[in-house]
Amino acid sequence: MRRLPIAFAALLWAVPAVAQTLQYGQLEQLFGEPVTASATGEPLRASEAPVDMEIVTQEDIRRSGAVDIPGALRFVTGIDERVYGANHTEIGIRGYNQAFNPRLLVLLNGRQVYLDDYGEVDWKSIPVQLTEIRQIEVVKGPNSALYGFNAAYGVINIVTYDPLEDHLGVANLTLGMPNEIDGSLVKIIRLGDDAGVRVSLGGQKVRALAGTNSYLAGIPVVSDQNGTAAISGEVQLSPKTQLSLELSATDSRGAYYEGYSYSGVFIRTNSVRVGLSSESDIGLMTLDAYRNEERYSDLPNYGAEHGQVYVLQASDDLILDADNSLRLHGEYRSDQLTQPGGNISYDIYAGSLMWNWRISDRLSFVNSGRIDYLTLHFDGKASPGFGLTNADFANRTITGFSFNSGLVYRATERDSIRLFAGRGLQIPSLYDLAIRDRFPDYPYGPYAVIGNPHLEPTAVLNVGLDWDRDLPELNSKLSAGLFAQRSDDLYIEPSSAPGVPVPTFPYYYLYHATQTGYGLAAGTEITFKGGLKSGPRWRASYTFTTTPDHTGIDYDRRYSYVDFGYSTPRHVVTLGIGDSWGQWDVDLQARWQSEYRDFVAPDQENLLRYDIGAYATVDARLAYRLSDTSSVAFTAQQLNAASQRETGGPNVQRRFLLSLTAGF
Amino acid sequence: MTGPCHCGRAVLMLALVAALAARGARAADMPSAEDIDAISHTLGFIDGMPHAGTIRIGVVYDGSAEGGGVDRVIEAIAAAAGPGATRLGAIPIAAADVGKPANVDALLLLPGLKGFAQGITSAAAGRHLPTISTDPQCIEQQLCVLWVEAQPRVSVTLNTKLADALSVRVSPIFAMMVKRK
Repeated sequence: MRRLPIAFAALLWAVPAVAQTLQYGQLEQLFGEPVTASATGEPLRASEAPVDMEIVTQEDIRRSGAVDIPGALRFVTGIDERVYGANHTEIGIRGYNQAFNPRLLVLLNGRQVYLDDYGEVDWKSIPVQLTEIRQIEVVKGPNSALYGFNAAYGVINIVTYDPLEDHLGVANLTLGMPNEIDGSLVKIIRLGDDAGVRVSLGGQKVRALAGTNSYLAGIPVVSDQNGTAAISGEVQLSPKTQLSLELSATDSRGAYYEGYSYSGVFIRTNSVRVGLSSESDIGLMTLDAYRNEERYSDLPNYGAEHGQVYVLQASDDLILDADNSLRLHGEYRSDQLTQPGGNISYDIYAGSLMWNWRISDRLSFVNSGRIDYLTLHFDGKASPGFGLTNADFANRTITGFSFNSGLVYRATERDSIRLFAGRGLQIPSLYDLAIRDRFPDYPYGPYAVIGNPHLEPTAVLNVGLDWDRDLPELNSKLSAGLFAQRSDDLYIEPSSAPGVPVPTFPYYYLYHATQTGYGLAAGTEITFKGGLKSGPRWRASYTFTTTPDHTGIDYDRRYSYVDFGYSTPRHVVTLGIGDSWGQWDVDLQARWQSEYRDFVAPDQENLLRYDIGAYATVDARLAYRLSDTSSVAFTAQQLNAASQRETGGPNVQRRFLLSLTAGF
Repeated sequence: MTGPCHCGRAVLMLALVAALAARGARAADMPSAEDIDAISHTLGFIDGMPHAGTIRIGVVYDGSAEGGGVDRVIEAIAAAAGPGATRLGAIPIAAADVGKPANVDALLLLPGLKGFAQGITSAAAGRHLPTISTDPQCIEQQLCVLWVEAQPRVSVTLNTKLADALSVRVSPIFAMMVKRK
């Protein structure tokens, strides 16, 4: 046998009762392609999704040799990756990537793992192991009509194997050079015919990157490490009702690049989630409630901060007739951030409607609209001297409308065309809106970070045209797309904004989020992907992105480390080939990108724009399959260079990984 | 150098080829192995199917028609895996006998059963049996709850009215994803 039948030990278990949740495995087997609910909320075949989407499968993940999610996304078309450290990687879509990028919404099985108190994603704080991921769904462009605020530039939804549908048992141990150890254990346990539990544990310890700039020298970070634990259960309560419960905890610590220098950071998170799906006379009803908690502190202890998110969602999927279906959705969200300056929070109330109109067997038209209403709460007194009063915070509300429309036309049996438009909203984070962080004892001079309650959400308007052509003779698919995007009211978060000198003691500098104007983006993405049943597989892509800057910022005179016009490489090319011989698998992947601009601060007084030159990365993986579910793999990352500059942080080093995976 | 015209023989050959092609087209209406595979997966979304053991498919054919490839379809079903942990079993049923008791979980309707529509729907309704076919006419004829075709890409069409009439229930998510008539 030249190929594993499916992912490691992920085998269909049995025919469940008629399920109320998306049975990814069975539907994929039926339709011969992945299925998704990340486009509209309604289940769809990937080829019929009315958005620009790419799905990374478990097989893609395994063959990449990656040990974390950003590594598995590195070769996806349109993904901009920046490796700032062993624990700190940033992923951007459709431009404007930066350290602590706020412009990408990330979810785990639909639960937000994007940290919207600070507006960032900590990939190491996502409680999931690579071996339990069925697929990673990458939506490029806004999808706020489904997900609300912060789904303005792109959405990544990580979908795991299902405790009721799949059978999975896999342990992994990876040893890396220099000084790395990773381990994970995932098991699905069936409890009779109608219940199942998925348990996952994982951890990683890596020596901190050497060669960081001067700030890191004073911070006692010797290794980056993280651990996650999660348990997820599902019960079929009755033939028409399904209940789910999920608990998770993570601990991540290490060196994080803050756009100019490194900080040692602790992040601890936990979550509790309960879901209920039930089929009724008025449609498929879904209730979902979860609480995310985050504890965050800098080293050496500038202050501990505590974030909490409560979310309650209810939706109803309703088939009206042969041609029309609706999805109604209501949501309440509460975000709270407690930090030394006091408590800040906001509540969001949202409602949305999705209408899927199948005009004919070949043509469908999907429209979604959503309204979000935010009220800001502020506990305490506004700091004097910064021109803001309590009323500025207490009276702040934001009302936002977003939409997504998509026309999907199956032109021939081989060709499909998608035309889509969307408006997404990126709201300022709690930190941006209302933070009151003061650092009177900072060794380089007292400073304060004060939120700006007058910030408006960034409104992102995106239009796109995609063409997909199936090439069955090559078992391949060619995809080509164009997009154009306008971002109004772009803002720079406080930690990226220019420092304003404050004449009155005790604060020398005030950091304050600022609104900067608008930006444009346009580009094209071309992907050719496939493989013959006899073994060889291939992938090639080209991405062109241009991001003209209309923010009005004079980068030569302002102290800012976001440069919207040059933060995205214009050209990215990826190539991948692989084959299998007997028990051996060989995969080679390469990525080249043109130059872009990042920032470094050699000292407290200077911030330098730093042009990162074009660079290439070549990864290779050689694996020997001991059985259908066990293997030994050797991966070389950045085989082409022992060390190379990829960001404003330290050079990225070549990495060798030896991995043992055992199914049970 | 020229020879006698073999036009008559050429026409005869063309006619033979056309006849063979027509036979091929007729045979193509019968479910292929890929169709059977898609039908097997489809069964996993129909309520009431066995969770383990064998799912028994009654293969309904026009007993008065010559040939038709019924044996080949039954062999293909026997060779296919069922959804999940199940197996598939096939029981041939002549359309004229469809009303007689038979221990089956679903009916696979082969092409050419228009004349037996009343008997088939009566039998299916009495036992709440899903009727499945690869014949595109079956939906219009109100014969099949599900029309399944595997090539050139998998397509499933659900006849919602007939499903209600036969009291056949499918997964709501499955119903959202397939074509509905």
